[in-house]
Amino acid sequence: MERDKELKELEQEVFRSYFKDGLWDIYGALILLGFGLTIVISWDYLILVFATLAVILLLFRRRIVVPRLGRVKFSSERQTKTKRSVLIAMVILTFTALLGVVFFVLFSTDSMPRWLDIWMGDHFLAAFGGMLALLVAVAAYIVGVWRYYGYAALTFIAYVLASILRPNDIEAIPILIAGSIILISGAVILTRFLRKYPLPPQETDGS
Amino acid sequence: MVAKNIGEDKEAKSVASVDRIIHEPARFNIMAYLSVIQSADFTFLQTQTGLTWGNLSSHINKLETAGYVVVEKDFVGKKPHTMLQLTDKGRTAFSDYRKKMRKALNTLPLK
Repeated sequence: MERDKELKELEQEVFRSYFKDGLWDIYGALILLGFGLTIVISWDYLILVFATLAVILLLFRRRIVVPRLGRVKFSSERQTKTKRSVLIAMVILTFTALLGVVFFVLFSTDSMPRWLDIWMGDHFLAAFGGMLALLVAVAAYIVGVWRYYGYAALTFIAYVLASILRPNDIEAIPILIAGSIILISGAVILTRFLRKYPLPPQETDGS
Repeated sequence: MVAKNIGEDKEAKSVASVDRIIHEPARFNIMAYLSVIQSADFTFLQTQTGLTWGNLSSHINKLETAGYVVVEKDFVGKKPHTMLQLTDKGRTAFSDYRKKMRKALNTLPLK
């Protein structure tokens, strides 16, 4: 059993090594900053920005991370575990989206119960932050990176503060601060990663 | 006293019978990493083990000769690319090595 535990820890360490580049941190930070900016400038096409950022991130990872860390195929057990965790995340995401649709329909048809209308008016940001933090926590669980739990807590705290500061019209500030903290953290991790793993020499075909 | 000597003899034999190919620290490291994944390339093993390109190549050659590792060469785009994988023989040998070493170390007194 102890033998299995040691190998399991080694496998987890290898899996985690693929998240020490800081790019996911930067992506998460940009999403949070985007949400904060939406409050300030109320821009409707933010989702397109997120999609573009995601594509850029994936391309960047392929060009920056893979040549430095190398390619690895994880065991079928790990692949199954990752698929299962992603499925759980997708269920939570779908549930959140459905909840949003339900609220939108209730709100737009004026059929929202009065108590819920009042509660949502007061705590909408905190509830949204809670959902967002839950998604980040699920991501932290999937990849086993502890700092992501910290980001989840930071996101939740920022949105609770935003909810409290909303009457003063400065609700964007804590969200922008949280996004900036995560962005700086990601940038520091990326810089360290690039310094620690310079590009290795190219393989030759031996001819 | 005689019984103790016989016990020590057994331990010594147990340690002496471990696989010398895996016993070398760098190769043990390579085998350990390959045992927890399906396959990986040279760069991955280099970053994980901290070995130089030449050193890693030399150890991989020894493991390949022993039949513990299979080396597959292909191309990613136009660049040559080498993927490494433990063979069944390699997995069994690594498992046996660990069992023998654990047994030998567990029977040694702490002081």
